[in-house]
Amino acid sequence: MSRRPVSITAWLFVFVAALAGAAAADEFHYNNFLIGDRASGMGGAYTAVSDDASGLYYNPAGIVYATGRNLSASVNAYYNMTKTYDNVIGGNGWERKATSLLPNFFGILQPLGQFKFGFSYAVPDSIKEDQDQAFYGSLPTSLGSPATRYIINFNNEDNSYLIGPSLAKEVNAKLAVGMTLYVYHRSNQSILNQNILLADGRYEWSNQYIEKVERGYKPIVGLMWTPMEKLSIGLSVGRIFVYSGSMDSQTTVKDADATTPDEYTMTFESDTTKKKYPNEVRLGAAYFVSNALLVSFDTTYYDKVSDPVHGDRVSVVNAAIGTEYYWSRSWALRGGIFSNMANTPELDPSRYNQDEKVDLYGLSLSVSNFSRNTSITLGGSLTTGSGKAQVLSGSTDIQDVDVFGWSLYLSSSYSY
Amino acid sequence: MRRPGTLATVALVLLLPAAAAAAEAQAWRQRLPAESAEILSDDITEEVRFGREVAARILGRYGLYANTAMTRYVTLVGQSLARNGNRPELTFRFAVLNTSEINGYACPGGYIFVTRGAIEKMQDESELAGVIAHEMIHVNERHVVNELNIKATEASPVAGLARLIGGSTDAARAAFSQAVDKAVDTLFRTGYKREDESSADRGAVSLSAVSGYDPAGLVRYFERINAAKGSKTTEVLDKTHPAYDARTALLKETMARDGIDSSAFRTNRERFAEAVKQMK
Repeated sequence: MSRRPVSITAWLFVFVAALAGAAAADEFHYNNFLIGDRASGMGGAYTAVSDDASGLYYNPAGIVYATGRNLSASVNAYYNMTKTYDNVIGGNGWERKATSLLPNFFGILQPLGQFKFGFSYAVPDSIKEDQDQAFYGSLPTSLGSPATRYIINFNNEDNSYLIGPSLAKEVNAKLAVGMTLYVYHRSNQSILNQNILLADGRYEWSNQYIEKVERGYKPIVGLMWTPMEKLSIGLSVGRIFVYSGSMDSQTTVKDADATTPDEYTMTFESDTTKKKYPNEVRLGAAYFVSNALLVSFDTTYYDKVSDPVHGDRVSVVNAAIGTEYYWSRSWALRGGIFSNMANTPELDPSRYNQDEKVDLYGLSLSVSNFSRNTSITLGGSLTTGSGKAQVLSGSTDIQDVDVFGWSLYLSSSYSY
Repeated sequence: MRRPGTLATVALVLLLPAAAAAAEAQAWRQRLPAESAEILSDDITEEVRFGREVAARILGRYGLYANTAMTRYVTLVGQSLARNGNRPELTFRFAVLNTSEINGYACPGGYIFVTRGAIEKMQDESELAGVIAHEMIHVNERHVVNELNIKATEASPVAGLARLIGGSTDAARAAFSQAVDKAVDTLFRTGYKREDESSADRGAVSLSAVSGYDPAGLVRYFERINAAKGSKTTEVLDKTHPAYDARTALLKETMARDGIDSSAFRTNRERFAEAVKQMK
């Protein structure tokens, strides 16, 4: 059977684009999850602090200044994000919701001779996204008949993991250096089902399954410099290097004109091109005003990536400001603001199949209770932003996108 | 494409000269809760438990000198010092280690050891008291306890919740075992911090004096074993302690500063000689 090149594929690719967009919720930004106990409350402005287990992720040099001989910390977080696309199909908007509940950080520190040794596990990106929507009415198609019903069921899970050791050493009283070597693993599974009922009685159905796996490593080299009392400057440089990547997809389509299973089309595709990631340079400054007040600032630069297979990325600069205040020995309050800028270019109205661009801004807050060996922290963050997207494949239409997300986390740390 | 290593190298080159300009402590990094130094009764229990583990390691290495009369004698001297110490909550225990090595050991919680070899080098009871007093100061001032941050595991609901969230309950046990290893390493290889040794020497002068023993006994003892320095019997002592010249100078300076007249205190030379006879 011959497939009409425009009709079903026009619909199908709309939602293939949706699939890509789902993953893009992560891939189009670099600062999707705040990592760590204190760090999360401070909006991630932690490169110049990094004096606990979270430092293994932000700036391993900072762990030199960790107090307590053995220290561990863990964070369990719940994330929720809603993306609303205006005027996508026949005036209807789309709403995609993503949630995730997971332990997103665990780290442990301990002295090792003249060094500080650490080991940590971090989930810098994770999403579990669902879309279950049905559209009714007279929906325009290119199948020779309008659709009276369109159903989409979509599930996407995309998780990135980092796990590995760190080592840091105090070079002198003003300088410490450190390094973390993470093993990187990413797995992404997407399932898309869509059914289109046309006004003339015909229907189309398609199912697509995509699985992506990436393995690699991420070295992070950091230093912590103290130019003057109470002022700390942190710098860390890291990058994910992928040493193996695979993408396998399976697409089954029942064309509107197909009448028997023999006429269904099945397509299998594989690709092993390795994805390229940018260099990540974190530079931070922290001022320890007193033993009760700390103010820190971070800026993170990601350079441009040229990757024709997985998508070019523009350079990005994110910033964060955080503060921590202990109003007693038992209680501390932290707050921060941060940005999570899109790594995609501005959309061009004359082109199609472009990645969405949504710059995000966030606010974080946490409160900690301390006892002698332990602390327990309850925190959360809000993220919001607006931008543009082009979810209809082959169309130059551009949609407005609004994003709103929130997270809650409960974490603990203790020293022995 | 630029590599992270290249960027890091550039950063290091840029920042190192300025960083090397000066050096000073960074206590200001410590946050308010970390500065709490409150000692609870459970901490004492933990200190004793920890010290018992360390003592067991020492006994495992050297063995106990099974001479009841000698152990009783050392204990009597030790108890007379303990009565004048500042840790009434501890029950001090004293024993002689069966080794020709010259040394004394203190374990947190009040476990004090003197080696047979050290006693054989002594000539009177004030020297023995000086060595025991030195070791007791290590205990009294919690040198190992502070260095290794030995304290009780919390039993509060918040602490329990924190451990639950962290999913780790064996970590404390592992950390305890590592701390014992570290303490043993301190005693046999790396030694205490220099300021802790100096503090123990100064404290030994005072403790000996208030207990009625001649504080100069420790000076005489140091001068004598200094002559044996470099031998097999002082191998551990030499690598874990400061030079004797400096130590004796510090002792004399302390005595002079405190106006201690050595002749006014007892040495119990005869009683010591009688006790040592039992070692033959």
